[in-house]
Amino acid sequence: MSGAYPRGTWSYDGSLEGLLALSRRAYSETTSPDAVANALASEGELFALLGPEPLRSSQRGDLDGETAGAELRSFSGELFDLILRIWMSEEALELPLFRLCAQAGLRGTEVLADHGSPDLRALSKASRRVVCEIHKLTGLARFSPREDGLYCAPLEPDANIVAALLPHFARRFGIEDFALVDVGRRLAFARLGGRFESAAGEEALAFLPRAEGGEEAQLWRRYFKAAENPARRNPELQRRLMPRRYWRYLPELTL
Amino acid sequence: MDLGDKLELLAASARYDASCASSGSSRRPSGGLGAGSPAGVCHSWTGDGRCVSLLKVLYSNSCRKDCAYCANRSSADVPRASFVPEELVRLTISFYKRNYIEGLFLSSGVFADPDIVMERLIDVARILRQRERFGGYIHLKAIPGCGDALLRKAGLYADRLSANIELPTASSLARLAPEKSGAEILGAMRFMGQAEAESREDSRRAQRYAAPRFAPAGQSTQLVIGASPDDDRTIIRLAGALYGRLGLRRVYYSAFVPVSSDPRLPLLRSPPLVREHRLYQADWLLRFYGFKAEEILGESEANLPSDLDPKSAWALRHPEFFPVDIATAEYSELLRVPGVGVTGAGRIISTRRARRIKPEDLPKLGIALKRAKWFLASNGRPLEAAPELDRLKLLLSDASCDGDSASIRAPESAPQLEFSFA
Repeated sequence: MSGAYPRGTWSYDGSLEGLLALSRRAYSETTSPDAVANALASEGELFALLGPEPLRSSQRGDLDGETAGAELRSFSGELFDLILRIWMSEEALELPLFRLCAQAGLRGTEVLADHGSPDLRALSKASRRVVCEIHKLTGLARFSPREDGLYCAPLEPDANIVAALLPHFARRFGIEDFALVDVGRRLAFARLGGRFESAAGEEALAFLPRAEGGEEAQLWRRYFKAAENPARRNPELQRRLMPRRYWRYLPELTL
Repeated sequence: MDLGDKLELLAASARYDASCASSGSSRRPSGGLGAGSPAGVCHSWTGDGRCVSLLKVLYSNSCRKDCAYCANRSSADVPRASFVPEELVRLTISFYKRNYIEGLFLSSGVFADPDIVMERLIDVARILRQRERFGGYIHLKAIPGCGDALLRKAGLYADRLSANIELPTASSLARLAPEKSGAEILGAMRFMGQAEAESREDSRRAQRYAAPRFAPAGQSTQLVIGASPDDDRTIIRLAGALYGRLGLRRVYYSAFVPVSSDPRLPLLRSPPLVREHRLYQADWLLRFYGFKAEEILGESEANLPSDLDPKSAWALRHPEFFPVDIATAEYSELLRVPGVGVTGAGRIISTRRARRIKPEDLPKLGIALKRAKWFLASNGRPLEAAPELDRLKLLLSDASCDGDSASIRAPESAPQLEFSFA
């Protein structure tokens, strides 16, 4: 299937494992492609499902994602984190990423300090957006208890970050179970009985509580309204700090 | 009064306290619900653009004191209410589980002897920490005049403690809050600063937390801006001393909101938000940019300019310091350049290790060249010759530099720094 792409094109299936394998190839061979084909992004989910075998990466000899990731992490934790965030961003930044990895293979970690490099600048910008969204949603996720007592939060992030929120909420909930549902991507990540689990499609959406709010949400709305100082009213600043795209699941901003 | 009514009233009573931080704590997971987040987390923003991180309420809005500027003063004709500890515990836990808050900020009117009020606040924190094993953030207000033993106890449950100075001089305190004692407030702050330093030292020696840390997120205070005629020089010097001598983590500035027609108060049509913003900028210079309080204002200036940020004002007063060369300048020198922030200065230093920086690289490093170009040099040559002083001042003003217009929104009808005292 990779033969359908022109020479100099690297292809992969859009998975994190595939991206890590190709990043490691660029780093270890100090080379980068002319073009990248992300099968999932270019042909949709159906392509990946119909393929004869998963397109982790297109070339024999590539390490599997886990091994490639471990090798890249041992070279530089900073580079590894950058790759993870670029994958989460879902932006078409594979080419600059592979060029950076190739440069890192040649020159070492100093390329990660060259903030004047257009590739690093584009990657850092996307990485920052991901980090900001993760930080924003650690505050803006809203949990409601289901009938069985499981606390669940629906989210619709721009980037594919819900799994990255898990460690934060695992610390926060202590020993209690919880679930996070990416409604748009139909993905769920949960800790149930102390074990982490994930689900996709309808199974993911089944985590959502049937009714949201209750008395506590009503109390929160009253608190939120009273905490505002009318003499300092500044809705423009409020919207800038808390963009409207995040308001959907906030009880204080929905009636 | 039901719980919702109390919550509404006691949240509205607490909204004049500017502090909202939930950062800076190194509390270990409790094994129960909740854990500290060292960077802090904002959970919402109210319509005034302020972050909601903590459930910020008063235990009681009944108060024996009659401070002129305070919405809860004894002479104010407002409904009074008090929580009971279990109500606050329920609200904190249920809001925390829903991820509405990082924890609790509990203050109170002085409705009884300071020891009794402080004990009530400690009771709430104790139930949360011991019975509920709550590991989230707790900020307790220290009630000046209470015993040291109670402050010590409070510091073992709380992440942060604070005692609000409110007014920056003894004469303003005597005029507007005659029942408050500056000596008591500073005494409480000194005690808390010492206890925090001892606890930090104990932890360092033990290499691990053998005993609970005293207020691991330190202490903060608040100054009300514009209720008294005190100038910015006085306020900035006081803040500098609080950071330097008492080791405070934060000084908050709260623009005075007129809540009464007391003749001792100035007639302001709206809160002096621009002045408050400039003071926060000056505070930033004290905490992160290596400025000393004495440097921030010129010898002949009493107040910060309203149209120019304090770093630009300093740069205009010190032409001999510039230009600063991007190839050779120290980090501390770069921080003095208008348009160069902590991140930008760090990037110049790290990029310089990899390769030579050209002027056209600077925007990519996050440098605001629109402000910085007159103060930077490359290979000994200024990036751009500075125009004459008045023109440069105009070019650096907020109006020319697209300042943070939303966060420093100037009230259209309220002139800053104008007082009309009876």
